[in-house]
Amino acid sequence: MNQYVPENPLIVQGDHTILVEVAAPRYAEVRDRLQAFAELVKSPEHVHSYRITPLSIWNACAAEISTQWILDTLREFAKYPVPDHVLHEITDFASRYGRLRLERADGGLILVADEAPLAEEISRHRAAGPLLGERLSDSIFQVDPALRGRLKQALVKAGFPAQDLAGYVRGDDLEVALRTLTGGGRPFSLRDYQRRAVRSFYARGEAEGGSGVVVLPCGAGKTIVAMGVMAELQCSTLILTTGITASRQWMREILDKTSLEEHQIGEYSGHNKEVRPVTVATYNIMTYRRSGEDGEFLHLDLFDRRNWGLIIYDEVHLLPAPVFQVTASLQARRRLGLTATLVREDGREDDVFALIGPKKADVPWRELESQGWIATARCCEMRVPLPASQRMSYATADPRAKARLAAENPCKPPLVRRILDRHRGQPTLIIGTYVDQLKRLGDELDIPVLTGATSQEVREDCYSRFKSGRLKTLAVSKIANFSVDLPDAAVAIQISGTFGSRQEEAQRLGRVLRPKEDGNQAHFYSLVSRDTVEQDFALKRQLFLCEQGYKYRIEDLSGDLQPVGAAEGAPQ
Amino acid sequence: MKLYAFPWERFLARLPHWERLGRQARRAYLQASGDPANLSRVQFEGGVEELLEEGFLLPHMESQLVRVPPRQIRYRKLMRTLAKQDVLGRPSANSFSDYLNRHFPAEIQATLIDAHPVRGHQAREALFQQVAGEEWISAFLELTQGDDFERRHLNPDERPFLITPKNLGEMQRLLKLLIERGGPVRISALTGPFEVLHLQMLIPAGLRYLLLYPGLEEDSLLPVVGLWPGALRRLRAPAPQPPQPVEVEAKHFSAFLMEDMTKVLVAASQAPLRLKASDSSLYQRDSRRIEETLSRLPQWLETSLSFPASKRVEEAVAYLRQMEYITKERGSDGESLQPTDKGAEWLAASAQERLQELLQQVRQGTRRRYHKRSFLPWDIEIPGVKPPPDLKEAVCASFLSLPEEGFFGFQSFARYQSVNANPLLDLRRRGETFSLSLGWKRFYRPNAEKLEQVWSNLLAEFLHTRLLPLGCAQAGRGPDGGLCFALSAMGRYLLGQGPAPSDLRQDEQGCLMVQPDFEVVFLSPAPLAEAEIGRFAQRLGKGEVGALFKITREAVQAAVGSGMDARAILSSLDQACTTPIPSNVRTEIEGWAYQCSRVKARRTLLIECPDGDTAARVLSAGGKKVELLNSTTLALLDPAFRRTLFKRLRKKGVFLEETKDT
Repeated sequence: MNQYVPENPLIVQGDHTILVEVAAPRYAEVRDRLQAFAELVKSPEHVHSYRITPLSIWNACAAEISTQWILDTLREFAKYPVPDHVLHEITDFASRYGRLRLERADGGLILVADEAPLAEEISRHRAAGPLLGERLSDSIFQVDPALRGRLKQALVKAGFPAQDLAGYVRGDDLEVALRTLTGGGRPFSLRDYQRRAVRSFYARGEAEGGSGVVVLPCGAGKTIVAMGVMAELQCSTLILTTGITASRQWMREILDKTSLEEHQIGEYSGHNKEVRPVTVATYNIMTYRRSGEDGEFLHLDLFDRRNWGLIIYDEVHLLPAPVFQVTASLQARRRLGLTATLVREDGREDDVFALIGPKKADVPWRELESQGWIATARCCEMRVPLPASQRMSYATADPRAKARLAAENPCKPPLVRRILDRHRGQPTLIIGTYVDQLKRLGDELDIPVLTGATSQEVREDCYSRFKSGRLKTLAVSKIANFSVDLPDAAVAIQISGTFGSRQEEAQRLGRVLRPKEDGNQAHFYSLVSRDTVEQDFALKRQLFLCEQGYKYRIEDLSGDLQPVGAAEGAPQ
Repeated sequence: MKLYAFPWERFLARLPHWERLGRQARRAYLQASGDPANLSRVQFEGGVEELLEEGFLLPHMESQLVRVPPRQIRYRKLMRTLAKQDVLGRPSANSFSDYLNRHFPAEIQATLIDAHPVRGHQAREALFQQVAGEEWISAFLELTQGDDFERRHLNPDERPFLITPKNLGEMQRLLKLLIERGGPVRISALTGPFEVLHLQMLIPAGLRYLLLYPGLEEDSLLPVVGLWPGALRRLRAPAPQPPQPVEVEAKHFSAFLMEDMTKVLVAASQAPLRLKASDSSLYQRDSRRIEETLSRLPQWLETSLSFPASKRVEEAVAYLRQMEYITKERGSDGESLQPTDKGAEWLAASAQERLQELLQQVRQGTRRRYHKRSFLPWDIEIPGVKPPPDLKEAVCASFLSLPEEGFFGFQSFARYQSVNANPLLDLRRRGETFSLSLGWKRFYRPNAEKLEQVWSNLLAEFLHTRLLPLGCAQAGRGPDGGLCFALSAMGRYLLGQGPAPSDLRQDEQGCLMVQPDFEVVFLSPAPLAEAEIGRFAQRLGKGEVGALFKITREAVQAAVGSGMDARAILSSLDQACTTPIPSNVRTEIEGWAYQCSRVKARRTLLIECPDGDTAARVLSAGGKKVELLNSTTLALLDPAFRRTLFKRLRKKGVFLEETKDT
């Protein structure tokens, strides 16, 4: 193992993973470079892991990064010689990008291969072949514009992603400008990383840009990046969100920070069906069927109800399958995906690449945290034992009941009180999965509880009081997992979760990550019943948070908590 | 056919004709089959005219057939023999034995063997060792007169060849010429330097005394003679030089045997490892499960050592059994390997302590037996030699002769040592005649080459199975891809030079850290730390650097089950890591260790009674040997008490309802 350069930060492994030593002198330099061609897998305290995949290399190619630059970066920063096969494979992955191009010709679409044998191979491919039209020459095929997306999907799966240079429809004109003072009178401008993301997506309006995904952590202003893109494109826009609360938050933000007026912005939801130059709809309404699983989607025609120039997919990692299908037929419109993580729990990252577009910007949480754009979070898992009276019931329960018994451990409420005392006066969210448990806790602590069944008016009222500081503590069910904007929450107490879902954990943590005016410190507590399945789930969440680089502390509270309902159950 | 008895003057007379033939004609002549008096022309393809012209064939007057002239039948037989018998092209003990059997009657073979007579295959083996070595040639070259030599090696009824000094001198000149040429020489090329009259005598003499071997050149099919290739190679080889330090392209250093033993012991602690009834080896499924957890050696080293993972598991099991860390237990479902208390203690010890104990065992190892490992990988027995040479000391001296610093190519080391510090060769040099036993292999009267080979192999095996797996030497890949090594301080200790190093990690510059996500990342190689952490962490990576381990609940609890505790685990991590252990990792390890407990399982007999009253009667009959589990069910605690209990119950009017179990 000669040529060992200990001060270099990278170890490139044969399985395409790259380890980066954070304490190495050249860490900062290499981090920015790596981001361009490798996916950040995890970023715990000392050593971060990246992975090189065909998609990550194609993302780099889409950003016009040369293969040589990638290889040079690896060679220059590696502690040990880079395995030859890794270098070869990177070259191979990169060489596949751009060998097929989708172009516009005589008003139609054509697929151009760089050589006849490749064209032949693609024409014989099981999935891609049937999607091709007439063969115009050895290396050119006609393509039905309606199949543009499906063809791109198939080509990605075939390992030869097509470079889509067919351009976009302009969409209806819409004058949009970003304000310099928000509606509330506070100065407003794009942050540097937001501006870079906008620029990267817009790409001077050329065909190389216009579709792709911006990856930013919760609280980092994805909505603002989207508004920046709208201001560049000046066209009618359809925004798809995860729920009505998120939709309304989008509408408020747009009104607050752009020159658009209320009559130009429409809500398309179960309550309203307004189609305006800027329309905000939910995934739910888009995938609503008349009856049963085979029923017709009633609202998918929204995509055609106006000549949209831009479609924004909020939380693109949650994009439902029917919307994917429709998106395949919307390849002539600009598409912007927003997400905090490209990881999809259904593994359809390649569809996001093919149908929405390549990654256009990616700023890790830790970086924004260090720059003060998002709060520093302290994660703490507090373990409480099950009361003796419940241990036998727990031991004999079936797995589902076990999870519930552990989640609803009566020793948790006193602990919630203790945490609330510790952070007295700070805006605090109590997040849980089980509504009954939340309601009991809400009654006990005399705080409002928001669940899926809570009316929109009540929700809005609570949010408003919470934001203004009149309400210090709020209990929320799973609705907190998606896009609820609670800017001033400084403490989150998670009293139960969904089997260790990483996505849920990211969203819940996101509730407290927005920058704080006093000290920029957020606290994220998870209450866990010791020696139960909940501890196993918590371990998964612990791993996820540690992988993201958060410091994680475990406090074991044995014996000093009395369960609710016990004789001496007064909270301490 | 006795080659040496062939009338070689006739052969030499036909030689110019043979040379004039084309290659195709020569081949056809050798390959044609059938009655030599009636051969089809077709068999000779296009070469028939040439063969007729040179007198190798005669036409039939009445047909299209051809025939071999009667006076050339033997000649053709000789040529066909040379074509088939490629003893020079494929020299080996087997081809030699075959050659000997075909051309040398037993009584002639007996005349060739020096010293004590031996018989059968032993005689051929001894003869092979004698004449295939360079000493056979060099001794002949030193003769000043041939009488004594011929007297020893001819039967009384045989005519001597080297009767005059001139004949002996010409024979020696021929051998020297062959040495100089470095390979077989065409016989036609010898007709210049030697008179044909002499050649007529030299060739059969050389063949008779196994100084020369005949053959046909592969392409041209022209006849050649040459020395035994092994002997020739050694006669021409320069004296080996002392090994010099080399720059290596890659290095690897680990006590992987200790790590393997640890993995096997941890696996046995989790569940007994069942043994096959046929050969007491592990079942393949268990073996594979363990193999998957082993650290992977770099490809170049794995290839050099030919040490597949399955062999590593086997080796680890052998050491564990020898050191009584696991023991064979017989249960209802057959034999299995289970850890002993001694094994649990060893597992709980630090890597340094474990390795020292292992080295101590190897140092003390005496003779190798089945399932046992001794200091030397083989026992070499030399019957009849008193006192036998101290091979262990000689092996140690060989390795310790190297300078302390730097890597050395094994090949050059072994070549030099096998010639200059070879106790077996020393015996031969002292004039001892002996045989060697290596396990089931026997070598009768081994020649110098064989002794060098045996010693070189022993050194190689010692390096491969002792020094490298025990972390006593670093392995390196030389510029030519060959295996190189550098003795470590621990290696010097094993070889008896100096005390055990107080800190095994003194050579390690490893940088490793535990991450909050429980992964242990090695930024540089640290094999001893790997062995340490492998006890309580699950292996992720197979390389030397990277995220090699993940600390998991299963792995920690397995380690606790095999004798470690949380404090020992954390202490190991503290010592090995260059950064503090994250608090969440520390808490989890303590928690996981705390969760461990042991339960005992035993067979018991349940006695189910129809009512509480009967249960009370059973309890009174059984006393302390029966325990009431609930109002109507009892457990018999002592199986030996069963008969007595049933007898007492019968007396009390409680009768046993027979079930399959009872």
